[in-house]
Amino acid sequence: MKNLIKILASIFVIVSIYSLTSCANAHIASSAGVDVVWGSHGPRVVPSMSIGVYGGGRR
Amino acid sequence: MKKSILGFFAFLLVVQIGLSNVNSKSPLFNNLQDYGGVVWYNLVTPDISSSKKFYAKLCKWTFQDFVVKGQKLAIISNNGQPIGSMIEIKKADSSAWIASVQTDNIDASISDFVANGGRVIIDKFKINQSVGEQVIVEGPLGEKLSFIETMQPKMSLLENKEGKWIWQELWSSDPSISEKFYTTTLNLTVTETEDDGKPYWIFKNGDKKVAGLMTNPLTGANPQWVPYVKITDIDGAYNLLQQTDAHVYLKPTPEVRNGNIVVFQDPLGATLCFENFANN
Repeated sequence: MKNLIKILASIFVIVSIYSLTSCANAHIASSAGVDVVWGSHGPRVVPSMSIGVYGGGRR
Repeated sequence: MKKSILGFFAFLLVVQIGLSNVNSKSPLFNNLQDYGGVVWYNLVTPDISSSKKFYAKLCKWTFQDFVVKGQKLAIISNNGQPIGSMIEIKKADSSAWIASVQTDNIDASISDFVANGGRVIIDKFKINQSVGEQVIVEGPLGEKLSFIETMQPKMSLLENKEGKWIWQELWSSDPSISEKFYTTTLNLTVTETEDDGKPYWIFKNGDKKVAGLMTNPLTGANPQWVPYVKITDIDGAYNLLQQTDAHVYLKPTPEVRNGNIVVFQDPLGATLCFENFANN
């Protein structure tokens, strides 16, 4: 029984690590004009850019 | 509100202490410089160590550290020339670049700015005898900048050199309001251009181009003045950005200025553009 618990715990830890790793640099689009990006310090909300509007740069 | 007040007082501290120290060690201004543009940038950041590491990697900048009454600050140098400063405000929600525009009459600039719909956030203060006075203001759409009056020779950072500021742009929620406001208050003229159907306005001081204006391409962000830094290897910079927590808004793409621009938010929230501007 103890071995079973250890095995299940190990599987849980491994799956958790892979799940968190997959969150790194994840990009979640929203419909509110902002995006949520996931960096090493956790999630943060960032504005979204409309490429069709941007025409900047030094003239 | 308390965070904002704390931030601005700390911002004043870095300007006063930072410029005083730089001025005593090396010339801040030189005869290559000219009136009419941004002459200094300040980065307010909640983590100065992280910000220095990021910009040292991306821009090859170096830093001169100071601690004043427990407040961490740093002077930014590009190839040995001071070009700005950083101040750590741990309670700040995010980092932000604030531009300083030179004026030869700070009282007149303040008066015009307020009369036309701007407001003063921090009253003018003296930096030191040799540098002059500065004031922090907010434009009619909420964009922040500062004026600096100096008795020093004319100055400008718009030299097309690697790692230096080469342009500034107002990302406005209403370009018609911004155009009228800045042409009036800064005594500038404006020329409208259009690239690929995208309108763009160029502010000029005489025949000298000093800044750009366009519709804010960011949704979910307030109007802001955005600085540009000259980086020759844009693709290399983009690759470096991908190794950091920066959020890239616009990766180099042939459809936008022939792939010579990358626009991003640094890991702590400040917006910045890198451009490989070839024409001088």
